[in-house]
Amino acid sequence: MLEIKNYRKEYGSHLILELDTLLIPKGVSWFQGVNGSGKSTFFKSVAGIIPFKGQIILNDELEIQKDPVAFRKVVNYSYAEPRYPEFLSGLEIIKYHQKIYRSDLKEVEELISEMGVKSYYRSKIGTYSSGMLKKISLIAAMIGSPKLLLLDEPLTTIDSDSQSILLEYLSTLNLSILIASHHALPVSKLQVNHHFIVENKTIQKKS
Amino acid sequence: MILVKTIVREYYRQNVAFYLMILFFCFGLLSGREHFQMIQVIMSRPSLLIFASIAWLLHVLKSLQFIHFTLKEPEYAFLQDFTLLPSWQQLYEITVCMVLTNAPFLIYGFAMILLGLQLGHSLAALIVLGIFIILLIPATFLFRYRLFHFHTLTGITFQKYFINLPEGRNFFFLRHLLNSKPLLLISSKIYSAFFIIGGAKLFFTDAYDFRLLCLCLFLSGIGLFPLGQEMVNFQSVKLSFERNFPVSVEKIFSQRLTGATILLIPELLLIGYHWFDKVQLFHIADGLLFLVTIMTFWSVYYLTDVSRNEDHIFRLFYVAAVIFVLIMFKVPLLMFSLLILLLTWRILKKNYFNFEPLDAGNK
Repeated sequence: MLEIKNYRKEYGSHLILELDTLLIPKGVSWFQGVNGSGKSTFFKSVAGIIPFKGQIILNDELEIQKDPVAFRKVVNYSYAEPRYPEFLSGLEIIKYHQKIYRSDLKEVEELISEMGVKSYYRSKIGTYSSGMLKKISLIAAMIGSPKLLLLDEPLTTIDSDSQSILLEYLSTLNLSILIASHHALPVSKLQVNHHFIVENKTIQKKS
Repeated sequence: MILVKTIVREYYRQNVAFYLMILFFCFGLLSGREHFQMIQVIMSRPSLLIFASIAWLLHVLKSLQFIHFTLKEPEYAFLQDFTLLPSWQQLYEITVCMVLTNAPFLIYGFAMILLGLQLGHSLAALIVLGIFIILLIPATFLFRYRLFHFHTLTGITFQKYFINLPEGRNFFFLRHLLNSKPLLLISSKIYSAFFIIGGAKLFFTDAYDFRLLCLCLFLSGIGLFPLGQEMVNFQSVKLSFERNFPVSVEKIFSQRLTGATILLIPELLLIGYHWFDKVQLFHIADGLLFLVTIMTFWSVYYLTDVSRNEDHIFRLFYVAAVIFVLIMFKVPLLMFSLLILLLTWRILKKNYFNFEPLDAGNK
């Protein structure tokens, strides 16, 4: 599904991550690694947020450098620590994503109401807690018709009820999901199919 | 010295290009000898110090504004514990922070004091010193007050004092400026208005014909540089999620052009109002396009790696000097506009998807 070739990412002269080849099959993949291991850097590279050296190819057809727009159309990303302009409301962020992906809100309506976002999403983001902001970021990442969803620490800062709702919702989606997390995911309907370890500046498949 | 490591370092990191630009233009357009003569005139007529005071006041306000909005950012939340330090240490660190953030104008001011004393203008030197004290002491206590009211003051924004702006993407940057950087917006408008209106008032006493408008807009365009720099900061930090959007470079280009036009509406109106009876319509249209084009250019200039290189900014100065000379030879602004638009397009096409966001290494 996702193929990484000769990947290398540095900040200045500091090497963050280097991969000769890595194949990530379809399904749900869990990327485990300690703080600073390079999980977020890898996810941001795949999402097209930061530049890198090498190739990232989706489903043998879309390469991020050659087809930057088409690739981004089917790869969505949610930040570990999202940041938005504080003068916008959560609803404005969601609507902005909706406009970009030419989507209606039907696909995320359930999440919006079940995660309790409706009670605050008209307020300015400057008034949100980190958990409230994270929910907006997660919902925004679901908008459109992604084939690959990248969720960076999706369970951090959100309450346990919302965690369960999110995991159950993710289990109903027919797409590949990459999840970066320090800890194992709680027991839920969402089954992790592949487990990757991010350490020593590289990524290896564990199971 | 936690405030120096956090606030001062970040202040200069964000403003380095702004100060280099000022440095190159101040000392590029005026030689050291001319500065010496200017200081001599000012010190011999202390009433002229009012103009220097206004510029220094704006600088102090700029640094206070930066401090206020930086302390609102979550990564600076730990500074709320600063007030647990002994009072003398707090005051010492805050004073050092204020002095260092205002160092550019303080250095120039101290040069004025030294020259004033050498030339026997002791009163003027004393007035300059007095202005420093009047500006910096309240600023120091305002900074301390801000730290002591860390959370209660975080809600202060300026957007509510303005009309409700449309919600679309094209207005995000303007809303950001009104919300977080009103001083930058206002000072850039004052700067542009000074040239646009000042040039119009001088027109009938001048022999430059339409070139006077061109020169005024050229200088206004240079003054838009800090806005472009802020736009890239804003997009890197608060809109980095957009880089995951499936949006073509053509769309980004038109978005930047529209954003620049919206941002420059006051200038465009001023040009129309003050110049319509002085030069041909073609030259007005030419000027409007030039201003929009140069703002668009500044908004993408920072996407290039070379823009963070001091030598490159120095080269920009020479490019500006060449444009200045060509304007004097009646080369129409339209030609520069087209060249700048082409260059903007090329920068965007080459760098938009490969640009390293300014805070990418933070998270």
